[in-house]
Amino acid sequence: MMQMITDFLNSLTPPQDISENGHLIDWLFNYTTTLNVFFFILVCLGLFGFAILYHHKRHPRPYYTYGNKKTHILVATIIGIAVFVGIDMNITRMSNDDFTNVFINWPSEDEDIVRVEVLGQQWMWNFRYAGQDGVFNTDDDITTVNDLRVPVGKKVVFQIISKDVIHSLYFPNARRKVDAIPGRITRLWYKLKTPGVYDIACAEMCGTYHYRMQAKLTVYTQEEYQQWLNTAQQIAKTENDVEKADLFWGWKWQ
Amino acid sequence: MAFFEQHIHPKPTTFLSKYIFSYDHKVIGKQFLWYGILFLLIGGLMALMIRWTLAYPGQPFPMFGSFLFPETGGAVPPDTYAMLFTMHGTIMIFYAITPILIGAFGNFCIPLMIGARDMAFPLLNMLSFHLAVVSGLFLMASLFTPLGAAAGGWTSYPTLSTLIGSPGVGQTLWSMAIFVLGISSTMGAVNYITTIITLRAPGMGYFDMPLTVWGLGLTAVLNAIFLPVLGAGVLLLVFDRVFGTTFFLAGAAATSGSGDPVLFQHVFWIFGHPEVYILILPAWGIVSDLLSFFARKPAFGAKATALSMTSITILSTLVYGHHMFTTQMSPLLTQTFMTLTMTISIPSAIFFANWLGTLWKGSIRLHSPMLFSMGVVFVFGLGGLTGLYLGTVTTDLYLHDTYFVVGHFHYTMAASVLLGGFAAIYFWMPKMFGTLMNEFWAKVHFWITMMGLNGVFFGMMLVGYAGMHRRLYNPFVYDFLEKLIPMNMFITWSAIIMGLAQIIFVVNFVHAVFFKKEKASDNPWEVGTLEWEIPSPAPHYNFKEIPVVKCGPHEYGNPNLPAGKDFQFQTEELA
Amino acid sequence: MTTMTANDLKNEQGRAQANKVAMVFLFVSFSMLFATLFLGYAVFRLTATDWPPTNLQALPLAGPFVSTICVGLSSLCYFLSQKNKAYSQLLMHLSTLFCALFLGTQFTLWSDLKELGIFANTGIFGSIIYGFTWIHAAHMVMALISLLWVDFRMIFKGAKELDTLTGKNVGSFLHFLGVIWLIMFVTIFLI
Repeated sequence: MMQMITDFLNSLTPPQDISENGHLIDWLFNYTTTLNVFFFILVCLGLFGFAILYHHKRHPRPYYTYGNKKTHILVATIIGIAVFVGIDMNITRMSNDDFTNVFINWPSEDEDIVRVEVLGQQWMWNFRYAGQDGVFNTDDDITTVNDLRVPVGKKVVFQIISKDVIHSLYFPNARRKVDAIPGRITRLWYKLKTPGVYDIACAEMCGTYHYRMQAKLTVYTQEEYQQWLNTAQQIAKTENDVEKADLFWGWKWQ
Repeated sequence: MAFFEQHIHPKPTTFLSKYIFSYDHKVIGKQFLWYGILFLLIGGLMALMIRWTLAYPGQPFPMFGSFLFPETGGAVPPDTYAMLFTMHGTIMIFYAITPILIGAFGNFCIPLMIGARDMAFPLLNMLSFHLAVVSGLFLMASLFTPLGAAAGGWTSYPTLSTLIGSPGVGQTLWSMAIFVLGISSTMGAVNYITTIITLRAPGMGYFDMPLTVWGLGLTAVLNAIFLPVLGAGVLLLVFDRVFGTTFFLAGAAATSGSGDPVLFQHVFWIFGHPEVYILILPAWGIVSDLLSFFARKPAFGAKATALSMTSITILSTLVYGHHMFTTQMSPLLTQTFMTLTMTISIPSAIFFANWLGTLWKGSIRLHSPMLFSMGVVFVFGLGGLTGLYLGTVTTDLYLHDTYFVVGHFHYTMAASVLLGGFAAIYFWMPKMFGTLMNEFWAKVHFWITMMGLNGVFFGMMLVGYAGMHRRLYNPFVYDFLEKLIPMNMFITWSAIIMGLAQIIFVVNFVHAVFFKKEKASDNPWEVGTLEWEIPSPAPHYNFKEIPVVKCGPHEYGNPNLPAGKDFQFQTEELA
Repeated sequence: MTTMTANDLKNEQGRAQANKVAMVFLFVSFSMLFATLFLGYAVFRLTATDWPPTNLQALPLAGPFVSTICVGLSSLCYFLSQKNKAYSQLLMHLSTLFCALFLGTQFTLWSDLKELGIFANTGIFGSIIYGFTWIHAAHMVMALISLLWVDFRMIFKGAKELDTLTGKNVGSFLHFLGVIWLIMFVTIFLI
């Protein structure tokens, strides 16, 4: 019985965090939760406490006040400011710091990064690596469907677009998502730390088989990744059909 | 105050003039109430089908399943699933909550509480209801079209909602229905605002109005300003679908030209965020009043509450961008919207403090309307606080489009508003229909509903935190979500219990309206606002003599009152 | 009317004020509808690389110009017919006529555009011109119906009809649509 309960509670944790910065989000979440619990307990104390304490049987004569005395106004104002400064400005500042210092702090062009172009379509994810020449949308590009492979310890940068309707590229294990929108490129980067196989999902409603728009994320060590990349490059060179226009869905890296 | 005195209309005698083509705001209010309850039933059944599918994917829906979906042996098919959650959202927001809170209680309460004989424009009021019926027919008709109803979510983002994503006529009908409903609500809103400005009883200043009227009035202002924005959006969507324009088509999706699908999201949320407050403001107003009525003391800081509601109304127009963080707006916009969103907590905290201040040292009578009002304070506390995670951009990057969002907005929009609506129905029942509902069963209804809805919506937030995203026909195709099957079953059973509890309400309500012999007294709750001075149910002319207001709406427990009396009417000189 | 008491008079004025309040909010609503459209237009216009698209010739300006004059004259006639409580039946007819003419010129505009090869489905440029003029024209149809209503009532009930609240409200609606058209003419056709 105890086992069942602990299993049940364990099931309610977020998926394993495999990225180097995912803990920022988890930490902020837990921090906000702590503050929220504190304030919500205050609300409940007021609500249930007053309901019992001042039930008409126990407290037949109410205190006649409009709540416009100086102390009343002061208390209400202090509560308002306490909530605003204590929770809101606090977490906004932290979130803003994380946002500017990490999540939109794009790796510079000369860093050693992995670049991937992503095309969402009903109902699959296409991924494209630049290949040996390092230029996208050329003959030697490596393309995969629903199969993304990246190494640990390197920043991975995605440029994402959609072919038909709006999708959203969602990496639950990296705590990140960004929309794939027709006609405009969106971007996302992360750095992973734990090898393994994980899920990629579409988070934005995109039609009947939205729930099937699933891809696999394989995280390799750097050596394994190099190995896979070499093999994939060989296969791409021999099997890429340059006559087919379908192959060239990519764009110049921007 | 009143700019002019309305004539007393002759009493309607025929069935048509009394119940169908009635100018009487009370009858129109009741029409909206029945309309809302009907759609609440439809939307609720849809919710149960959605929940059933999430807990038991591929298994036949009990009882109706094999009748509704014979081709799959009773299980909800994936395309129908998409229609179900689209229609559930649309129906609940536009066809259940809006008619009950704004249509029914807006119509019923505003003239009665400000001492008017009717709305400023009775004909417009009647047309507003009839347009709402036309709109409802459009929406229901879409269920029977060849490719089925709209299936792009209640937000209907293009390009999914254009011909590329949904070729059926259902989506067009959906857009038309929303447009027509928008006209109906705008007409209602203009009427409410004019009524409040021009028809307040002599002596009634704005701060002498009950807070219910404040809430409804602010809602009407938001409606009048922002519904046309949505109207323009869906109108262009209809053009895209019917005439082949390319407002919202882009990239590979458009054969030529370059529209912008994100523009629709901007337009939608410029309307959509105020819409959240359109739904909740009447409930806030009602709760602020009822807490004072049943705590038997004046509303704590009533002026501050009214002004907080007003400032939220203004702020609500500036924060819509937090719905669109994942579309990657410019960082500056993202940061601005995040900060603005957070400022909403100042007025919210102030009126939470005022609500608790009203209870403080009161003499609390825990009748059913009071229980429901306190329920609103509880669930809105939860809903409001969980909004913080979604307003901060980094946590939103993870939580956006997960069940956490679903849980959060159900707490604020569904749970709070629903409980507020029930509080209003139990409270104004005697004035509307002349009878009181059974108090015991009302309390049973409250407790079961309360447990059920917390099970459902808190459960949703938990699975959302665990990563489950929205609008999935079968979430368990993902490895990382398989462990959530037990929790989803728990949510579903909570939902079923909550649904069953509503049967208690319906039986209680129908019994009180049609079968109950015992009439309610004129003022069963001992409340001092204007509507409680006239007979129950209210006569068709409301007030024989237009009342003259001499004090505020929350005069309870004044020690100067004669012994045995703990409240005074608004027409009495302040003791 | 001669037996009107002071109270009736107060009520009459009160009603007029209530109508004014309602019309203000109604125009706020209508303005938000059009403001949304113009917001969309501004976004498209500012993000477009070339406007109008290079393969299109210049827009026909004569038609929209005539439309502007028509809608202006319609408003003017209505205004004059109300001025100093003159209530001229002739001016009322003229107002209705110009309003109808305006709708006529819209049809010629659409056929001109088609001859130029601009269709609603040839990209965002066509979408905007057609979409906006359609929505505005739909409102003008409502205005025309209201004008006909007032006009007929005047014929059968006498000039006083223009003095009623309906007469005033229809007039302000007509002027409002005239202003909207003027903004559209300047922003879409001229700039």
